[in-house]
Amino acid sequence: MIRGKALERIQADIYEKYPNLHAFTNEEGLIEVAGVFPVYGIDREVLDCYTVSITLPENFPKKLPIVYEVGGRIPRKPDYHINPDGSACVFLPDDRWRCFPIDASFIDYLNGPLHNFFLSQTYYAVKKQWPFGEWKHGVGGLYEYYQWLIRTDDKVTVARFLHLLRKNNLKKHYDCPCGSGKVVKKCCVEIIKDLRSKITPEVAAKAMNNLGFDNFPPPYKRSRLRDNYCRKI
Amino acid sequence: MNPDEYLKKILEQQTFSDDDPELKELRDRRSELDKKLRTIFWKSSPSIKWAGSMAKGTMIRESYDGDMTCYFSCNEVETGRTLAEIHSAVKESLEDDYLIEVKASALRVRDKADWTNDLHIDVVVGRYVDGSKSDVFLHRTTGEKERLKTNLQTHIDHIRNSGVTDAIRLMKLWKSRNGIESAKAFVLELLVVKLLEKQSSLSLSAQLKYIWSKFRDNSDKLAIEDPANSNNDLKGILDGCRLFLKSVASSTLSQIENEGWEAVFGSLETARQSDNRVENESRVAALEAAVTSVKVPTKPWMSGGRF
Repeated sequence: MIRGKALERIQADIYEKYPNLHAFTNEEGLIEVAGVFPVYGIDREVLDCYTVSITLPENFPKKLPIVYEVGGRIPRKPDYHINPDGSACVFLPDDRWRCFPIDASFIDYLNGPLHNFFLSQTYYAVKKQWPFGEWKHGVGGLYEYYQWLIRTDDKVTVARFLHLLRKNNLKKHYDCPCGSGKVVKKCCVEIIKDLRSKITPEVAAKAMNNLGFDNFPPPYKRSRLRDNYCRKI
Repeated sequence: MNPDEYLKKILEQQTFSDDDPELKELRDRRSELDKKLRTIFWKSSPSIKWAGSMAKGTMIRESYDGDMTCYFSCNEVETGRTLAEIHSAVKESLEDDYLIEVKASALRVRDKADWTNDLHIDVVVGRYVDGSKSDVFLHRTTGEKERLKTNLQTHIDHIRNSGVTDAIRLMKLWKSRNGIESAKAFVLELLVVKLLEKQSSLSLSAQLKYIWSKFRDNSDKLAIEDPANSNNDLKGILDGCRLFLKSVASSTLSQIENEGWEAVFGSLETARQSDNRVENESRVAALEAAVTSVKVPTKPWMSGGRF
C-alpha cells in the first residue's frame, strides 16, 4: 500500500518534466523508473538523451536508487564511472548529505545528481573532461573525499576524525582529532559538530571499514598503541 | 490535420530517401564489412545479406541497425567445427578494425577510434541447418540454449506481407522515444502483427490505439510465436518487458486523450534529429551554460562493485 502511494507520487512528479520516463512496479515487486532521460539546457532545451533503467531498492530512500544506462551510449568502463555490472556510480555515497539528502524526494534525485551525471557524460564526450571533476576510483576516491571534507592531506587525521564521527556521542574532553594536542572543546568542536551533521555514525563506520581503519585505536586516549599504528599508516 | 494525416507525415520524416547521405554511409560501411568478411573467409564464401529492418521494410530514421547476415554452409569446417567456433572466428576477424560488442545473437560493430560512435551495423553469424540453405542455426551468448534455429526469409516475409508495416514503424518510433530497451524490435514486430491480425481495416491511428489498449489491459495475456520456429520460446523475452509496455502504453493513451498525438510523436515542425548528441558550436555553448548553472555540482565515483 505504502509502495503503491510512493509509485503514484513518483508518476505524478515525473509526468511533466520527464514525459518519456515511466514508473511501474517491476517483476521483483520493486519500483522501476525506465525510459528516456533528457539532459536539459538552461532554457529546458534537450541537449542529449540517455536510455535508463532505475530501480528503487526496497528500503529507498535509505538506500540509493540503482541506475543503469541501457542504451549502450556509455562504455562499460571504470573511466566512464560505470561499474562492472553496468550500474552507474552517480556520486560517492558518503557525499549523500550534499548530493541527495535523505529527506529529499525521488524527483530531486533526477533533477540533481542524476542530471549532473548525464550532463557530465555528454560534456565528457565532447570536451574529454569531467565538468565537475571526478573522484578517484575505489578506496582512493574515498580518501580523497574525506581529505576534502576534513580539509587535510593527512590520512591519519582522516582516520582520527572518522573514529570520532563513528561514535554516537561526542565527548568534548577527547583529544582533538586534528592532532593539535588540545582537547576537542578547546579546538575543533564546531568543525566536528558540523561534520556530524553530514556524516552519520553508520556512514563513518562503513568508511572506516572500507579504508581499512577498523583496527585504528581510539583517538581520544593517547597511547603508544595508537602512535605505533599511525606510524604504520 | 487529422491523426492519420499527422501519423503519415511522421512516417515520411522517418523514411530515408534513396540518396540520403546517412543511408549512403550505412551502405558504404556495410560494403566495407562485406568485402572484409569475404576476403577473410574466402574459402567458406559465407552468405552475406541485409537482414533486420532493412530487409523487412520497417526501418526508421531515428533508430536503425543495418543487420547483415554472415551464414556459413552446414558442412563448414574451415572457419570452425562448431557454431561457437565460427562465431568467435568472425568476431576475432573483425576486431582488428572495429570494436565488437557481443550481443545475444549478433555482433555489434563500433568505430575503433570512438566507442560511442555506433556504426549501426549488427553482424548475425549463423550456420545453415542443411544444404537447402533455408533454416539456419544462430549462436546465442545468453539464455539456456547455445543455438537458435530460425529462418531469415520466413521472418522477412512474415513482416513484409503483414500489411501493417506502417503501424510497426510507428511502434518502433514509440519504443525509441520511450526508451523501451527491454522490448526487442523483433518482439514488438511480432506483437503488432499478431494483435492487428484481424484489425488491419482500422485506420492507422486506431490500430495504434488498439495495440496500446491491449498492452495496457491485457499485458499478462500477450503471447507471440516465432513464425520461423514454433519451438522457440519467446515467453521469457516477453515477460521481461510486459510491465514496462503496460506502463508506457497506459501513459501514451492518457497523453493522446489529454494533449493529443503530438505529445506522443512530437510536432512536425520540430522533428527530432536522428542523432541528438551535442555536435555544433551553439550546442556546445548550451552545454557549457548548463554546466555553469548547476547549483550543487556532483562528482562521479567508481566503486568497482566492492562497496
